Amino acid sequence: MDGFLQYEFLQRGLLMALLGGSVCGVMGVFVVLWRMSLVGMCISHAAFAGTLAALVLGWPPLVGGVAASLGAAAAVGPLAERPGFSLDTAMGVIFSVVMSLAMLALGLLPGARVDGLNLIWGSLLTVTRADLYLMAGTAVLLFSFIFLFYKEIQAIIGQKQSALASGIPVRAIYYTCLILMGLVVVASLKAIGGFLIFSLIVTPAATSLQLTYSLRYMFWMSAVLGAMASACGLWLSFHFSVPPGASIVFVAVMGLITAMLFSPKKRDRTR
Amino acid sequence: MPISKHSPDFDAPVLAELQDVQVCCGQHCILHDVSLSIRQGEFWSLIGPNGAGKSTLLGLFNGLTPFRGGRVAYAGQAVTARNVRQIRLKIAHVFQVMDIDPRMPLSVYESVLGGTYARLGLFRRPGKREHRLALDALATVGLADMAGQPLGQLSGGQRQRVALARALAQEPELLLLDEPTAALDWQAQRDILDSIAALRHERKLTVLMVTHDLNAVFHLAEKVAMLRDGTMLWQGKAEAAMQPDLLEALYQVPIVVAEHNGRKAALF
Repeated sequence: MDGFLQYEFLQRGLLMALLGGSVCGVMGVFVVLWRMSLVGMCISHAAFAGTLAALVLGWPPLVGGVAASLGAAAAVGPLAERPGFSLDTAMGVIFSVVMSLAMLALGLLPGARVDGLNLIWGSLLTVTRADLYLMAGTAVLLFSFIFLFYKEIQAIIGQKQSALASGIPVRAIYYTCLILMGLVVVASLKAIGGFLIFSLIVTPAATSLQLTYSLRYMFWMSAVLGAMASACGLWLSFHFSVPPGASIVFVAVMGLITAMLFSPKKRDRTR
Repeated sequence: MPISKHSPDFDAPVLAELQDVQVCCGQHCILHDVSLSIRQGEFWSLIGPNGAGKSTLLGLFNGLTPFRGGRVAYAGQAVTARNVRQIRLKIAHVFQVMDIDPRMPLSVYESVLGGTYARLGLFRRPGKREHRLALDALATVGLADMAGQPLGQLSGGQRQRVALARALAQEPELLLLDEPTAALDWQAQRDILDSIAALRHERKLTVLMVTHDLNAVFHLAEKVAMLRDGTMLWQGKAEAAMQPDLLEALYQVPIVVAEHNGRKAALF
């Protein structure tokens, strides 16, 4: 592969891209099917802001990111649960507050701010072994969650109220999912970047929604699409010297557009 | 013990009960000291104008509606935060049919099978029994041949029947129906009501149905409760409820009761 893989940092970057891409892709299935775009966006950007704030305060970035995303989940989750409550405005406000906090933290960062800037644009090439372990741990948690609670997850899709009324612990599963989302974002921040992470979460799942009626396939397909977009994006970023986050999202969105154009579901929409 | 429409079993034990229940949202109260006692095997219909608190009342039995004063009991046991999960397993709640994305990766069969999951419990996969329950429920509502279809592609009436099948797969003792015929055409309404009548006799279910369809009320129910502005206006036997002045007081519009071939119908 034209020297692409002869450097160790690129091998690590590629591994991170494959792992992170599949984790984000799988996370996106929840966002798309449970209609949590707005909630997800707030939580993922809160994780971003929290990580930046931790850098300013000299804390471990992981702690700041997880704490901020948990805080956001605790604030936003109950709002999203209220039946009939319009989330648009509340989320719009929370989202801009979170982003302004992120920018504030960036402004307060002393020195060359390389770490901070990396968190915004992402830098797959500076991925360390520890970053990989963190991502692998997150992957294990997320995939076990899906494996263990698959039937409950399926029961909640499109019929949350009925699932709740029948005695399924909807709330516990929903909040676990929000916490996992915070973790996924924190684990992928450094590689993908805070601005674009949510796009990598949503796009592969939105693509697979165009292609399958099976939840099982949707999870698999989103994982594969996320991993492919990340690997292709990394390759593009290496060859054209562009930030990997941007090229990854570009590839993912191209995939979505192609899927929308050729979606077999277009024919089915006869209602 | 067979239960027919006109011979409710008065000795049957009380299954679900409200005693002076008050539901408030901040300063504004939605239900004022409402009492209702539903015996096993009875078919109750809850009627009243929009905003009277009917859906709110329905959610009291399975803990979806938090209440301030009074007592809610199921099978003699007070419904509390601690036992509400256990009680929910025995109560199926069919909500008004909502639009879902036609691309949703969820088949009719998967949706119905989902009704068995809560009772099955966490960490257990559906087995033979659950699959049989789901197939039986689909057959009861007449949708066995649509099992593999994506749920989002069904018509409103069909989706309402799927919701009913899902509730049946739960093997409930009490069935709560929230306007099962709202927004459906005549044929779909008829199909749903026929399904409800059939399964109720087949499975000896206790039913509480919220509806605006007065003719369905008198066709199916043996007991009627009338709710207006969060207050119980009247409750009693369905035959006695079909009175113009009572219905007029409830809906505040002139209503005429006509009779055709021994069947009463309300006209406004």
